[in-house]
Amino acid sequence: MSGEGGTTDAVPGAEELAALAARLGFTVDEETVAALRAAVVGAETAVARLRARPLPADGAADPAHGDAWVRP
Amino acid sequence: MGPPVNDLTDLLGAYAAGRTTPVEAVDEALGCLEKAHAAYNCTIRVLDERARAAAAASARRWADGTARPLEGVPFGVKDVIDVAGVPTTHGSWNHGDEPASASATVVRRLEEAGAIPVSKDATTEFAVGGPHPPRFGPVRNPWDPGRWAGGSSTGSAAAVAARAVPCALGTDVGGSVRLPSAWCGLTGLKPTAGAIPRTGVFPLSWTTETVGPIARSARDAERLFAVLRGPDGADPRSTPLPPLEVPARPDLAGLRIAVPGGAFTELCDTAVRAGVAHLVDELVAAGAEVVPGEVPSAGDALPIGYQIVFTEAATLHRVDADRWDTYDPVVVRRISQGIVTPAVDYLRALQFRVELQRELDAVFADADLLVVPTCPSTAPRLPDGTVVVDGEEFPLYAAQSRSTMLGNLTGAPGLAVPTGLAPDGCPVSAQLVAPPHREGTALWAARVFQERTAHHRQAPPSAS
Repeated sequence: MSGEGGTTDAVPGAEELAALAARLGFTVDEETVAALRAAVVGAETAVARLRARPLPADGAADPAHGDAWVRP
Repeated sequence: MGPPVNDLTDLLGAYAAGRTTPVEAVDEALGCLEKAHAAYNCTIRVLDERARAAAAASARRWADGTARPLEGVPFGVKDVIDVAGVPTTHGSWNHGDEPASASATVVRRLEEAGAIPVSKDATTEFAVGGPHPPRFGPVRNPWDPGRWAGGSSTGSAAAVAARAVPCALGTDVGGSVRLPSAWCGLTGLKPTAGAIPRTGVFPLSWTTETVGPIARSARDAERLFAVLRGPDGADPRSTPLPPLEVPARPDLAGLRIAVPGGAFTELCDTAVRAGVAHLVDELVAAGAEVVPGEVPSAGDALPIGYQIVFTEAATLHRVDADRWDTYDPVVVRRISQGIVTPAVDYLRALQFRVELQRELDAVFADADLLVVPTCPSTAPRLPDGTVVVDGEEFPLYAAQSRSTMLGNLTGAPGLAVPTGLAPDGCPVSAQLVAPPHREGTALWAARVFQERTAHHRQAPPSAS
């Protein structure tokens, strides 16, 4: 099933997300869980594309390169 | 009677010529702020006593010949930035009724250059909430009070646009200096990540966040940036910088500009695209050359950038997780996405940041600047904050940061420049994106454009 720009099947259900949030120390109500899940679904297409995309072979695996780029 | 005072550079000229004094200018700013706040809800606190004392001291410096570079210039401060002795509310019920113990580095630097903070300006809650922060309410746009001034540096842009103050300090995590600048007809600079220290600024996202000036002209943004930039020894991302070099020439011979399409223009109002074309035409007429250049992955910058922002924001706000029921629900809805971002996705997003930087490197190998829309439309309508592109409505967060997040995610600087008015009477804006630490190139091009045009001098009808 496709959501707005995302795939709902690939995203954990509301109950699972709520349990994860609670384990990590966040108190979120049902409405918030529904909203955050919708947002995750909305971003899922772009995120899934990124997961599947191979890293460049020139060392971009270390995010420190990202900080180095803005250092004079 | 001298030339009109349009920006802070004019104001310094008026001081130097003896046509006005900091005491008069601060008095006028405080009076205008009161009226602007009544009309637009832009101010959280006026710093009148402190400002009047500083103005008297500034007037003495102008009189005895010891004026500093920004002597007597009033400025606003977004209320996520500390001013010593003044509460920083972050636009929230949840923090900040205790006075700040010290000023943020950026405030201290402006004060040391002679400028005078006159207001703490409205912000969306924690610089991430919606247009209707529960504690202070929405800030209306001086160009059309039925619209939002933009966010998150919302009150700062409204106050500058309303001609209450010549400039203000904002913060930018996804466009929060550039978007309200665009929607209020102003010139706003998001500098290279790390160029301006964030010490004393309430954090939202360490990877993407910068402080930046909101001004009425490129020459003002340059003056402010020159004072604000450079390490302070406290912000670990702020390191020694090369000199700021802004050519003084009135032409742009030798400047190469790329005008990418793709994600930058596929959801973009006709009037905004016309503004970009107008800017490009003027730059070319001044001697610039258009060269090819595209950023193939730019379309993913927004969702992936938000993933980083909200994961970092959720981390920062976990300490207050038991009080989220008192936050703006929009803050909670937005940053709660970050709770469930797997670590491998967050780290992949940081790797994507490097990939985007390399795409920019490829463009900047042949171009000195990118010219793109700042945002897809004129200012969002209140109360719902919808964005209208060629007659079609879009949700605020799906549209507003499409062209600005690239700079936050990569760290590249971006300068929002007003390019005229749309048929709806509201400002449109284009953005000049430069390689890291080449803000001077963007400031040069914008200054030349503004010397050839008058869009930056247009005031809202209510302030004319």
